[in-house]
Amino acid sequence: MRSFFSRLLRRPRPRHNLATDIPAQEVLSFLSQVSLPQKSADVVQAIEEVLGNSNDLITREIKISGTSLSIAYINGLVDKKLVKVLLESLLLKRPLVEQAGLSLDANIDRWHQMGLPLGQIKVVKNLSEVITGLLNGNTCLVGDGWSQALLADTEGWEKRAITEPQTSTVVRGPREGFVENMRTNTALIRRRLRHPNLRVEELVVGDISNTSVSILYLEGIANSKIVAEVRERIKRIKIDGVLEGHYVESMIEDNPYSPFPQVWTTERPDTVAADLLEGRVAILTDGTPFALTVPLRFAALLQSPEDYYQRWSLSLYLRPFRYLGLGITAFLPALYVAITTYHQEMLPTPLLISILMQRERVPYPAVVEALVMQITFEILLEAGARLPRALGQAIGIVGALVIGDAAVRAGLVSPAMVIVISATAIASFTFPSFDLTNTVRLIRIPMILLAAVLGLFGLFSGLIVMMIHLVNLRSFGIPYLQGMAPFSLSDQKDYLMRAPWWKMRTRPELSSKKDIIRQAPDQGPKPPGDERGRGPSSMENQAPKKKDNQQVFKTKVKRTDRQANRKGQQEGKK
Amino acid sequence: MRRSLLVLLSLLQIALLLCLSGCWDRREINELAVISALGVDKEDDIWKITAEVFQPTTGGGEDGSAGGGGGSSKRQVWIAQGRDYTILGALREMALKVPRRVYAAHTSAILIGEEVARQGILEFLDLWERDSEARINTEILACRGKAEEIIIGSQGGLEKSVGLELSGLKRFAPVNGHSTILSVHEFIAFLGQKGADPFTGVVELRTVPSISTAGGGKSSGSTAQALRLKGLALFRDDKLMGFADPTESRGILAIQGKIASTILHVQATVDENQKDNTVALEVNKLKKQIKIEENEGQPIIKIKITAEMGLAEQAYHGDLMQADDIRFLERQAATVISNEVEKAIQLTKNLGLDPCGFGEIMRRQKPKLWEQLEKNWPEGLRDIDVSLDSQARVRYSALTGLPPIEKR
Repeated sequence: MRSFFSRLLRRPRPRHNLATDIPAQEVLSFLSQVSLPQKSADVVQAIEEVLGNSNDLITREIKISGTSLSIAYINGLVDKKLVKVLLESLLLKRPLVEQAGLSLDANIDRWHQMGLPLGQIKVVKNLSEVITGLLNGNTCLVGDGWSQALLADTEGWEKRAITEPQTSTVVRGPREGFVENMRTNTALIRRRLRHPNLRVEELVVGDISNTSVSILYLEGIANSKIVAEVRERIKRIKIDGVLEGHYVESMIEDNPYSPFPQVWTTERPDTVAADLLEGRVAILTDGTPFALTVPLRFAALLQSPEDYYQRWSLSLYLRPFRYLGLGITAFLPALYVAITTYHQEMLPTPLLISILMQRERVPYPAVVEALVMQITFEILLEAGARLPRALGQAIGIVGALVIGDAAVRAGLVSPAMVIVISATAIASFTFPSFDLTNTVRLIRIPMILLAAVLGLFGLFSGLIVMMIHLVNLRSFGIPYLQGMAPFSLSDQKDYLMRAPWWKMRTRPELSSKKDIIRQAPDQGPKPPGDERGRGPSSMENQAPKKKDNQQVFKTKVKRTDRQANRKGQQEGKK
Repeated sequence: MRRSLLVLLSLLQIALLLCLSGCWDRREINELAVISALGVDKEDDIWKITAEVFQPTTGGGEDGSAGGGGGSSKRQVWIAQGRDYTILGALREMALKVPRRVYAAHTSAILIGEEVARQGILEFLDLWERDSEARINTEILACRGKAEEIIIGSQGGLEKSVGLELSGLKRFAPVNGHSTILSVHEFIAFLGQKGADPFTGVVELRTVPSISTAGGGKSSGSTAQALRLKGLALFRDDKLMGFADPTESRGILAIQGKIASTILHVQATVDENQKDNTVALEVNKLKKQIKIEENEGQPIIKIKITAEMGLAEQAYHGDLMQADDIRFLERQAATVISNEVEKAIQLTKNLGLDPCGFGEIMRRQKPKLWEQLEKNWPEGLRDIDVSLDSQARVRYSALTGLPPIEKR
């Protein structure tokens, strides 16, 4: 450590390699102890040394009246036009300074205040900040005698354009999706919520990847305890790299062993904005076109953004089908196995005869049949996801012909089982959340096994265990089944059904408590002349029972605290 | 530590659960011999059970082993028989002959042979009601002769099996009103009442012309046997006492209120010489009201039957929907109903039975009187007067427009 200092100060010492002497994860913290040398050439040399003479580091020295000024940037991370603007302004200064016979201004503050034609200029004092700035696409400017450096924001790497989200498309609704660049993503959200209370906090996670992770929330609407908890949990992450939002997700989940997602993942800025309005907290990870929002309640997994963009009656009509789809995709194969191997008396006689005849040629028990079909389906799905797009159709044909038709003809499976498995497969794609689809995939086969071993008794035992787990589960201290267990009448307006917008007066319980009124009351259709709910001040006038709500708030917050403590203790044990 | 132990333990538990494949109740659906209809006979203290089992063929047209007749459609069944001193023993005896597990839960119909019915079927009913596999909504029917013969003999039906055919008949027979089929549950409900005797439909074979498409051309002249419901079998407790012909059956069912719809035939005009004089009235609502009145310690049963009907078919080509004609039709219809009910009561009095459940009504309406009569019931019914009042209302014409001849 000491030797590196010395070499910067041009004392001959044996050459040390930064990369091998110091663990990679500690390099930046080590560099933050290194102050910048006086001469600009030394600074540039130090930068080159730290970056190991990487090819993409560009440095340039400009002499003005005998004093040298250096700039450094990393090629590809900067917008060359901005760098050009910067250079032009410097080169324009040279003749003025030289004609006047002045020396270059050694006062960095003057440079900072008026010298450079770029929006964001920062003064930094140590090598760590310089390096971080360069790696973030800034251009570093150092002059002799400054012993500080200027970082000009010239960020401008290649970015993907904003496109329609791939994972959740809607017929009616915005078509913008997040991209990999976090700044674009925060802008997408800000454009939807133009309010000073929208907070964007940035944290850096990952010792090597140094990924920016932003926490977004609406001050005053979001529960500050939850915001603090999110911040705390993200700060606790110690990892070398964060390449996708899931790295963060899996490290801040309440119960990492649960098959159920406890963090909502979305590609849509409008969904994030809606969640923020409900008082949730969003987490954006740089390099990930998916935002996370917490706390998540189970019902949200079955709510599509489109529910809120089309007429409420249609949403009301469609939502039960998603719940039905959930039931079908999780339990239908198990139910079929249970009934056909244990409870034949539950089938109507004609159906029994029909299944009897279909199964006549099948040599295996219904369980084996179900498992074989299920496994085949999973393999097909996996193959379909991995295949180059051009070959995708071939898989479809093979799947349809081989499984749908040939397997039945060959007597390997019964047509009824094909119907059951395909209904299961189709129903699994009715959820707006792909996370839930995957969760259900995980529980389906255990359910089939339970049904095969114990019939309906086994199936219902499995269901009960699942329900117990769900009731126990929490997302950032908020019960996963909030609305149902604990039951909340006011949350029913957007749970199994969706009330029209003018009926959704309050935000969901627990998630936000301070400011729960969303809109003025009585905005529903009414005969002309009725002015209720149309005055500008009626929103405040009629805010109902705020006191009660705050009491509830307190008790719930206690739980969050307790949970945080418990987490802390667990950390301590390790 | 504690948590990982818990996870380990639960995994172990699940693993052990999977080893527990000795699930004794597991039976694959294609390992079952699903009984469709069951014939119960008794030969010298030995129960003889005939089971009609679904034959699981993937396509139609294959012969059932019991096939041989050539009905318009082929039964997809197979016949198994078992004999033993008990019913369960006989069913188990079938296990030596049937390569599958004999499965009774889907039995649609039980046919009781005449001989065993006369001896009493309490043992069978008790088994069927209390056994875990058997279902009490199975139909129970009586037959003349042996049940076995009917199950084996009836090969010319529309449905795949006798059981399915009888369950179809149960649903649609009330449209006719001349017979009905009771479930084991309903039959047993009668046994629980002292003042009502059970009854159920009688099934018999009839010969139908057979259109055999087998072997290419139609073979004319061949016949097959098919099922028919005919009247009612009247029981006292669990013993068959006699049969009621279709007319008497309709009378009994009218008093029981078990007629959904029926057709009455009356004359269109008073003119005896008029040809094609018959009119069909479709009864759609038949209400009965039974009152027990007491006259000097002697009960009188007062039956009031109100029938609502429509003009459904007429051979006499005139407009019959005039007030006078309607009154005339109504008077006749009331007479027809009275006659049939009268006949039914006469029959039950002769047999000394009470299928109409007068005793039960008496128990509810005049409990004290019932206490006296209970010991000598249903024979005591013979000495009780029954007064009958039937009314018919022709509410509408079930036909549209006027008869074509009237339009001239």
